[in-house]
Amino acid sequence: MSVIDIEEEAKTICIRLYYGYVEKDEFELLAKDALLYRIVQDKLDWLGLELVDRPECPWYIARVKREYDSFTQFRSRNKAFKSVHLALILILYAKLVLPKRVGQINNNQVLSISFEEIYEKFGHKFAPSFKVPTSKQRMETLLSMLVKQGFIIKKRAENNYLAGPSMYMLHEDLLTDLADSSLETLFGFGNHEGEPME
Amino acid sequence: MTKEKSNSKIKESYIFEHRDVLKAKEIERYHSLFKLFMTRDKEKITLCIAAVRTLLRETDGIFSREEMESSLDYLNSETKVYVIRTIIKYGWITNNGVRYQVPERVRHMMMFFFSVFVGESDSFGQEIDVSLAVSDLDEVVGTDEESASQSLQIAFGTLKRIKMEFKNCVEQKSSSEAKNLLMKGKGFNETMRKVDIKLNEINRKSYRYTQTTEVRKTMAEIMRLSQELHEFIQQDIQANARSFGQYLTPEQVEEFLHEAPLERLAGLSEKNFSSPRKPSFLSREELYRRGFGYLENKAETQELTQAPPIVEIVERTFKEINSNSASDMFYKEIIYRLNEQSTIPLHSLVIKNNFGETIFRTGLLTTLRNELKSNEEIIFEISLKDNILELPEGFLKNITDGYVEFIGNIKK
Repeated sequence: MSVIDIEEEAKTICIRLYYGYVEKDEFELLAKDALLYRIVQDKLDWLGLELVDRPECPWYIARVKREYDSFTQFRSRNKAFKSVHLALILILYAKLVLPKRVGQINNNQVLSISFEEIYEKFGHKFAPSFKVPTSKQRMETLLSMLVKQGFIIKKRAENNYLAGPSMYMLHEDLLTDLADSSLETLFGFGNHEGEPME
Repeated sequence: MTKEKSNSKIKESYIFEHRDVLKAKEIERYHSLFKLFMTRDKEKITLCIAAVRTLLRETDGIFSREEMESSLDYLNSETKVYVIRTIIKYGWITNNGVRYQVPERVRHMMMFFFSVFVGESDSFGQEIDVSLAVSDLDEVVGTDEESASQSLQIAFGTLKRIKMEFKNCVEQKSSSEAKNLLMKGKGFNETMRKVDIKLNEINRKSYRYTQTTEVRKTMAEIMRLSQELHEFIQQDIQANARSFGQYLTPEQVEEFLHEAPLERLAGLSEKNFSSPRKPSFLSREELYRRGFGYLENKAETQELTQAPPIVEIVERTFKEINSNSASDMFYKEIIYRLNEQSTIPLHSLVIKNNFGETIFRTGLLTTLRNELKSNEEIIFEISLKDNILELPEGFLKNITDGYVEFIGNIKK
């Protein structure tokens, strides 16, 4: 019978998570051992990180806690990251992650979106001006930025895009926010306060 | 006995002068029109109504028997006879002995039938629209003010009903009901604005403030209730992500993505943005070393590798024999050629069809001579002429003419 030193095991896992994301198959022990899981969580918590472990996500990911994270800092480090990219992230989130998280699609299925679909459905939103339509090249550069930041993974052979680890790092409140604003725009609920009622 | 008693009670209520009873009494003379529906034979009623509709559409309003029969040709002869007999019997078509006519009242009734009963009014907006449109009829017909206000009451009764539906839903907190209301209440703001405009219109025409304020009160209440419903849905989604699917289908989410401006989408994801952390490409050992240091709160210091053990080295001496150095070789060549002839032309000694070698050899020649001179053992001297020798072959085109000359050893 081999004795596993939990501290050491937890440390190695923490280190791997600290420097990136890890496939779930690599740490099979983590899913089985509740104590180890707890220790890893505590350790990461102490570092100011959160363990993201969602059933639909194929990785274990550590993300910076909300109170230590700052978007402005990220923006200053990546000047090329514009609000257009943010909007594209939301669109791809709704396409690639949302159906699984909401339970409309089974977790085992792999969701992917082709470049043509993105271009045809949402290309018009990213036009540089009213007169100039979006070119395919512009769309590709926008997507390549997201690939670089790890929000999506490009499958070169099928020209498909899959959800990347950074996509799962978005905070969970995005779901409710998305629901709120879509209910608001689709059904007109929720924004009566500003209206004049005699 | 009991039957007589109940009859007398009905009579009592019938005589009672309530305004609704009075109003209902006004329609009494048209009751014969509705006897059509007494037949209880669905197919016959349908055929009769269809026949009236074709007559209204295809004839000029006043028509002869022949015209009527020709336009009803799609019925077979027996049913045609039956249908015509029935609609004449119940007064849907009047006959003045020669010609037939559809009374205008029937025309309006048919219009009403086919706009109210046909089509699905599945949203609150549509329901309110229909009731408002019907209440508009009062102005056209020109009823007195009192009855017009009463029919307005009926029209705005729709609002009261909607309010009750909202109230029930909020009290019951059932998600399926909430979804129903959500679908029905699409574009609710617009309908509310429409009602508002209508109320303003009514107020401008006649001063029925008591009624309109009442309607406004119910509207405000509906708004409040819809707000509550919205909050309930919000909480429901927050509590359980799976309920998101109950309220919003993927198509609706996509519709939202299309409709919403880009800034709004960006704002949503910015609010919940988490800076992506890239995986490092350091080796795994390096990662572990750094990570352990970090976790144990140590300063990051580089571990020095141990010095190798001291090994004794046996020293050996090498004699440097530089017999084949370039200047030596050159010296030997010059000596060899001077043995044969007393003077050697410079170009034959120096040039070997190579630019680099020429410079090397001239340099070597002069240093060799200087070296020998300093050792006081001069054997040869370089003497240059004034003319320039042109060379037909090779890299160099021309060279100063000259020769190397044997002098002999000074030392001796």
